[in-house]
Amino acid sequence: MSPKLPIQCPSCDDALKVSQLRCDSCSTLVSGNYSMPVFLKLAAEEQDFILKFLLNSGSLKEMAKQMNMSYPTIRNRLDDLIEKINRLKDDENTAL
Amino acid sequence: MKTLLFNPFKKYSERQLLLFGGIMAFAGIVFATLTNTHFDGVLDTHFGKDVSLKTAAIQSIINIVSIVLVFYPVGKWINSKTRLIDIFNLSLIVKIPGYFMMPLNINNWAYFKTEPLLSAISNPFNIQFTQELLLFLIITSVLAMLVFVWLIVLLYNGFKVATNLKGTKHIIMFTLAIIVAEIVSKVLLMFF
Repeated sequence: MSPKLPIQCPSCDDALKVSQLRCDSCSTLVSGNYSMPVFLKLAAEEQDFILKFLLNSGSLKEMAKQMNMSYPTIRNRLDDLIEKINRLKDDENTAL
Repeated sequence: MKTLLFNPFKKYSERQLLLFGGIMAFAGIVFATLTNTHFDGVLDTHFGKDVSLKTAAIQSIINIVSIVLVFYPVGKWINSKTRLIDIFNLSLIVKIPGYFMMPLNINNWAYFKTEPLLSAISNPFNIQFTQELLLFLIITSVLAMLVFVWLIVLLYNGFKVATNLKGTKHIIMFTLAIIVAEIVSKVLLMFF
């Protein structure tokens, strides 16, 4: 099982940032304070939903069939996700 | 099972819902005739003693039309992506709980039990409550309440899936839509 990338602070629930990156081949470490991209700020199932959407060429009907859900259920999930991404982007812009 | 009973709209495609809802609506009309049951309003179920196939069909069509006429514009207002087919399927599926009341009036059983009560309603002190009658009233009332709650849960879940309804404002609109749909169905029934 691959470990899940934590996106929220387990202590205060605030969004986590990246402070260190490492090159596996030469062990170089890069330190800093980087914000995570919007995609990585989403929950694992939301990321999975976006991937499925992409792999189905954006066909919600196909996704509904695959996920054994009705079309409006999938469309609502997508609308909620769009709303969440817009909110995250707004938060990012406000923070800048 | 829970999804099937209370929120089939979440899982089943519009075609499956249309087919099942259509069959159930047709069966509902036939059984309403056989059991003399009136579905004279979006939320109503009443027992009679002489319901023709034509009457049952008109009542069923008016209920469907009333739900679509009211819930579709409200749904569009809440979410412009609301589809007519989802509201139409909702109007077919939502009547199913009411069909579970029909067996009570096989051979006009419920009608003949309640008819003396309704005739004596202006003078309630004359009503003779036998043990059997009380038992009948308790069972019917409990069943009617369960059916009503099931209907509202189905209506809410179906409308929520169709419109992505959220928040108090939308819930108030949904509640008003139920009342308006009931009034519309009663008004339309006056013309037939």
